Amino acid sequence: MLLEGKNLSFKYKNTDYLFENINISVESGEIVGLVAKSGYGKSTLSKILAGYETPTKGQVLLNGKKLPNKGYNPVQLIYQHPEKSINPRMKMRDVLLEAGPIDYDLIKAIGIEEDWLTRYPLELSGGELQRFSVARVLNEKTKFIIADEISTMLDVITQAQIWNVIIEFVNKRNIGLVAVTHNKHLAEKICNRIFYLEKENRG
Amino acid sequence: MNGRIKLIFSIIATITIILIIALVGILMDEDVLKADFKIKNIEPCLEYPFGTDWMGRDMLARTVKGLSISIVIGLVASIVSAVMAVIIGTLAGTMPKWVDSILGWLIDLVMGIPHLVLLILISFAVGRGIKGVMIGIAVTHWTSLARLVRSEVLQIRNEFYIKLSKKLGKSNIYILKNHILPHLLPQFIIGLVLLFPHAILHEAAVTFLGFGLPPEVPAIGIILSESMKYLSAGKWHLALFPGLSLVAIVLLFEHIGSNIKKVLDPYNAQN
Ligand SMILES: Nc1ncnc2c1ncn2[C@@H]1O[C@H](COP(=O)(O)OP(=O)(O)O)[C@@H](O)[C@H]1O
Ligand SMILES: [Mg+2]
Repeated sequence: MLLEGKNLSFKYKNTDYLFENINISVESGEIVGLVAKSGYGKSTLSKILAGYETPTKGQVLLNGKKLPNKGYNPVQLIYQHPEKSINPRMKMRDVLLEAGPIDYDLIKAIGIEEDWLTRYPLELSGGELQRFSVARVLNEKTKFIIADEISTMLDVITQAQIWNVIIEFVNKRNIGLVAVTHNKHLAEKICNRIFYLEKENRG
Repeated sequence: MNGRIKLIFSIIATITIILIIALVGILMDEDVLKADFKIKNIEPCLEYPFGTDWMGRDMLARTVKGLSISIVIGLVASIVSAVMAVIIGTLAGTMPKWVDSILGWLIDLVMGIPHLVLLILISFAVGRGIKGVMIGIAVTHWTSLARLVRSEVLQIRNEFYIKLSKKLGKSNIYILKNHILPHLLPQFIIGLVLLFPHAILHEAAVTFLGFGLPPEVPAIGIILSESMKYLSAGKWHLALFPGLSLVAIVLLFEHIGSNIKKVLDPYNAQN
């Protein structure tokens, strides 16, 4: 499968263009880095690729077709802000169940402790929450993952642990992964190729 | 946690008091309410704590009966108007824009007319009596809660986790049931409880003015308006105790409302 962003330009209401004419693509089984300084529009581009925002110009195509409007989106975003990705009034178990049955081996590998499942989001730290938003998209319906700065809230050891789980998962399932980060070294370590969002892309 | 348990205990105790008053009133033997001219015009004493009136009716019994009628009317009217508020507020927040505009206009319209005027009109149209008062109170009191629900729905609809739920393939019904309604539940229950005193006071007010319940019903509004005639004759107790009881019931409901708010919404309480 192929996910492509074609000639993407984007501006928020009342702002200049964040970026113009970007072409970015990722194939099944591939790990692509999206690297830029903070404020350059990585999160915005991530949302566009996963269908949360409509590009001002250009389009996002999955195997040449538009992303589906209904049903499980094969392109899943792990958002930079886990506390916004999780309903504060839901218990963590229900948060996971919303995406499908819980894979207990997987959540253990990702460092989720079982007694967290009965807690509310406010009773967990940002890093702990982030593991839930990662675990949620690691299922057989997901074909592409856009991981937006998922490790910034974690210590180095946990970072490595989580990236290992994700990379093992995408390799096993032939999933395409976009690793979004401002950390060039991290990207160089885990990605097949890297896309830099540069000043020239900015409007 | 200890404070929470105390709050819950206090809520249960208050609800119990109100339930007892309602039950005693509903199950009351009609004979107790009958006139008995042998005992007319007794001042408050041990046997008749609220005294008796010019027809020899026990004022305590009448007051309890009147309060129980008020509580039943208040309960039905608040439930109906709170349910209306949630349905209309949710529709306004989730439907296309033109539906929202029409409902917003309707809310403003009903809000713009003074409650009492609308109540009197509706009581007239439906016919005096309990039914008219209930319908009147229900259709006048849903607006402020509906407006609140609408703005909550509009806000929560834009939350990232709601959009994410859609990307996980969840239907609008699922999102309404699992994300939006649980978010509204505390508002709904608090709104419901706080509607109660309003409903009761308005019931008493229209009845007092002669547009509500018919004179043969021992409603608080009737008791008060009848007693007014005897105030100048020095029969202060006829109005004072029923009036104070009404105020006490209203305060009990306010008390429940504010405690429920603290218990039900720990999320907002923490922020
Ligand atoms: N909803 C919004 N409305 C207007 N401007 C926004 C909005 N969201 C983000 N921005 C702006 O767009 C720019 C890029 O944001 P973002 O995509 O979060 O960048 P990055 O993820 O690379 O740090 C920032 O300057 C930010 O202030
Ligand atoms: Mg970002």
